Amino acid sequence: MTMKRRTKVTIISLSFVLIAATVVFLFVRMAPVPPLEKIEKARIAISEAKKVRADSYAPTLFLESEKLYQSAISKWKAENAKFILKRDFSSIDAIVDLSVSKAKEAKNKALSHSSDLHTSLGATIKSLGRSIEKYDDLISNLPLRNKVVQDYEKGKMLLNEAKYDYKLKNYLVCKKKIDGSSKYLNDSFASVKSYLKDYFTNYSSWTEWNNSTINISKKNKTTALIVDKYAKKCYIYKSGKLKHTFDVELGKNWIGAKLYKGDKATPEGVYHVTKKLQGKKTKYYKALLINYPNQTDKNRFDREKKRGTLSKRAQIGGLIEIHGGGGKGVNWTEGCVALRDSEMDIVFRETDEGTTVTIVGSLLRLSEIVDF
Amino acid sequence: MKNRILLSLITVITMAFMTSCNKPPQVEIDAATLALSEAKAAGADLYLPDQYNAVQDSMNVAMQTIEAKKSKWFARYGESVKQLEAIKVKAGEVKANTEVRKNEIKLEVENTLTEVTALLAEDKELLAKAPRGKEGKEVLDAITSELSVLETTATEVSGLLASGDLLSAQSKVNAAKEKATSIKAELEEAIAKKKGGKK
Repeated sequence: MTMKRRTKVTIISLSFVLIAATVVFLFVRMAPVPPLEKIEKARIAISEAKKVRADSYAPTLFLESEKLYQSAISKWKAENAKFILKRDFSSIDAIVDLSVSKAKEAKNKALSHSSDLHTSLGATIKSLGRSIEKYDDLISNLPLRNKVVQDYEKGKMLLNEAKYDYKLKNYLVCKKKIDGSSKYLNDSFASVKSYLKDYFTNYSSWTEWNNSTINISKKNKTTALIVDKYAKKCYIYKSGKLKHTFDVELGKNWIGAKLYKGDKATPEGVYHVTKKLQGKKTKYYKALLINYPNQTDKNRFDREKKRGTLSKRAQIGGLIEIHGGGGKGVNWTEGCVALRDSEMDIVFRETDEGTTVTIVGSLLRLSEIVDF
Repeated sequence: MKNRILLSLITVITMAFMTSCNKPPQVEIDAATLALSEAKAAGADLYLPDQYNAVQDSMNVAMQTIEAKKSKWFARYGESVKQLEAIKVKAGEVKANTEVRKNEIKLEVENTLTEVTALLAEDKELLAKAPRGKEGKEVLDAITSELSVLETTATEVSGLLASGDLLSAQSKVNAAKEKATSIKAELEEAIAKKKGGKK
């Protein structure tokens, strides 16, 4: 090859390379650029939202933001698969912008939601705690159905678990447990409320019996016994004046009037002593037999039997006494009123056959006993 | 003739240079993705959420970097390969850490459950010795109810442990321990008062 020809080939080759390099340079300059900064912004916004548990506290917004981000990445991938000059990243801009705004919104919502939960759950925990303090004595003292007591205990247990999650700032788990606890506790509280409210509908009769018993005692200068079932107290009046107050124990199911034999309820009404028993005649030290069932009790028993609320085999019962053997600290009798032997001595001494024995549900209004 | 061959060669090389680019490191992407899924399946997002989220975020960064490189003419994935390999290793660590954390919680729950069972037995013994004087019976009845709920809770904890719901088991067993301990203190106080009264 001649020198001239070699030079010609070299020039052609160099020109070709130069043209190619220029084309490449122009392609690189003309190629569309993806919105890298915006995509990075979206990633950071999502990461920050996740740090404040937006996936839990603002799940809808957070998921929307994540989906938008993933959709932007998918579109990016799809565009990257095209020839460089045919790529179009314009639609990605709007998607990542929306992803950023949703992620920021999710973050703010999560912060505010968790802060709200912190406050509201803390308040609910305190409020349930106060209710438990109020109802604890009531629930342990009232003859309630087993389910009511079990619900109450389950509610207390769930509240303890909720307190643990609250300390760990697991507010959503805590809320779930608080909701469960509230349900159990409020159900049991509602049962107690309605139970007592039903019972106290007789309050006006109880007041009437009490006032009339004291007035008769005053007028006739006689002794009278008044038993307050709710307060578990027995009062001795002489000539209308209160002389003694003693603690008493009642039938296991002491709430409500006695309806039938074996219901372990202590009757309510105005009675009188029919017989004084002591020594071998009673197994509870000393006893005052009263005239249960009186006519009101008999009428009620017949009515309930006719209604079918009592079985046909039910009997009205009897042998209700004020007797000794008390001081056990529990309502244990079959329906009688039990006192400590030493106090029974006084009651026995102060009473005669014919002495009025008035048994009431409560001398205090329900609102004076418990603030529902 | 020689010139034509030379020109063709230059053309081919130039075209290859212009059109060719490295392929994304799909093997490494798949391996890192799999490692992340395994960490999640192990419960990393529940038991070690911060660690898991950090690796997930690194994966997002890596994928963004790869796409950014794909958007250019001459992609070099060497850095991305290193990044993905590091993510794979980190995800593996998070998975291992999750297993360790789960075992720690499991052991803690089992130990606490043993304590609760022992406390329940102690509570029952104390209950038998507790005074049943005035108002005592009602209190003891209430404690009996509480112990019955505690026994149910202990059974529930065993069930949660068996099903692998360790976090629920953890809060339940700790609440049960607190309750059983407070019952024990209440009974011991009542018994101590009774003994004091006899002096």
